[in-house]
Amino acid sequence: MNDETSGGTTQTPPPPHGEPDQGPRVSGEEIRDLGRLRRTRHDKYVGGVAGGLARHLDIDPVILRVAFVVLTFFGGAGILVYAACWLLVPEDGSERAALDLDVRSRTVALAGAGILAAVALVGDAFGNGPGGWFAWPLVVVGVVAWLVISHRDRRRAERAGTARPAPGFPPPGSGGPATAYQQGAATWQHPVAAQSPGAPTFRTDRMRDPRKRGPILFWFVASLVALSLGTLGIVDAAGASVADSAYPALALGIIAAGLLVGAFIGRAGGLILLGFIALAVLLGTTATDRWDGTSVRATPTSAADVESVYDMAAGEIIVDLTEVADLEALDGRTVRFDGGAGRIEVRVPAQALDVTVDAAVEGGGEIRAFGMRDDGWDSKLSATHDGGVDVPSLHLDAELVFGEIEVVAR
Amino acid sequence: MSDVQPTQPIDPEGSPTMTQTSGTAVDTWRHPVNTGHLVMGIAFAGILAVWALLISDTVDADDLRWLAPLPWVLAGAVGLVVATQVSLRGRRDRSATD
Repeated sequence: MNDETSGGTTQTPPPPHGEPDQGPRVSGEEIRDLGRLRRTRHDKYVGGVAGGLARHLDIDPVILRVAFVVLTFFGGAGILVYAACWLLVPEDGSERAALDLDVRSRTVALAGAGILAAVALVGDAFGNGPGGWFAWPLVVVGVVAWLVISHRDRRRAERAGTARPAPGFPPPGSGGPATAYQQGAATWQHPVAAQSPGAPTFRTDRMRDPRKRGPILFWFVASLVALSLGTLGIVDAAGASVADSAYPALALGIIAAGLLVGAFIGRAGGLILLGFIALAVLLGTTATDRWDGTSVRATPTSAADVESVYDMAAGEIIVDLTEVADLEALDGRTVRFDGGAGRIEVRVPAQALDVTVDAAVEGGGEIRAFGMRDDGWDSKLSATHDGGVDVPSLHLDAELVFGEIEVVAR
Repeated sequence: MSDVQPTQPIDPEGSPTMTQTSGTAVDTWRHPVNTGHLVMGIAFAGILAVWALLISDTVDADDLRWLAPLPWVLAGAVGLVVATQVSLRGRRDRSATD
């Protein structure tokens, strides 16, 4: 492959016309060359990351979009990679990303993000809590390090009076003004070669999407959110009654306002992601505010006292069946336990009662029953306890959305 | 600034200058409606309204069953209308140019 490097990017000439397409259109070397990766401007739903990566890998972007969503539920790996690409990878026709690094540093940072995502994924798979949270502090450390280093570099550049050169780009109609790759194949259009002599000099980084006029609202809104949350915190600390969910609600309100303004004036890129984060926190804190826990505790002493259904929205159900005197009256019965989030614990007598359990945690959590265990997303477990010969049989049916189900014999 | 500038290159600073597009002066702070941002802005604002109703005990938690989808329905409907309008306007402009 005849590669040449110019301005931190690698260009690969397109294959000669008429040559049949044989085998993969990108080589492993081209895939590893992350410096040529760009986010797409047009084939995009959020940040153009999936479109850009798909073009880089020469695969259908739908595959990557689905993969990002699915991986988000496994330790947040998907959102980590997406956010890293969004922040680190420039858009088509641009050399500057939101977190602007030179090509080599960007490649290292992207590789680091990939490794962190893998760590989060593995952490989640091995049950270190939902999210493999030990990976995320590293992300925060990395972002802070970048802020410090880039600020220092910018200061130095300003002192030295140097300016970053911007690449040339072809005029409209000569191969796509802002498209780094040619459509349909992961080949690189040399921007300077396509420019005819004498043509006016256009600059890729100055040619904007018509929707990208006006000030960038992201940092303004983020600052406003920070200021508002701090103010609300002071009000809270001063003794006013402020619900926990008021904090993310305030943030969500400001972000919504930013998006509505940005839909017509200015540029609101990035606020949707921020809004989803605020929304997730709002849902969690509202659930905590509203349902700070139902506690259902029962120790029935007779079969008649054993209810057919025990349920709760969030909290804890603890039912102790070891005190039931007439176990034979439980023969053939099914007791259901339903809950949203929390914990279900059922204690059954170790002797004189056969027990079968069907337990499921539809969201995420853990199930333990008679020495058996299952955890993770959509956990299901069936277990049996043998209480002896010719003894009554009881069936337990337990379901939770998030949390822990435990059935023990005592 | 009141200078009338050609469409390309656009002022790199994104300052509120006037840009000449198809013979029409356009304020550069304004831009064609970004439907995605509009839809999500309405959805988030709607969710906030639902939260306010819930937290103020104006509605019961059981009402969330039908309240929760409303912001998305509203946002989606507005998005459809705006997207259609933008598409029709673009087509009209193109045919006028031709």
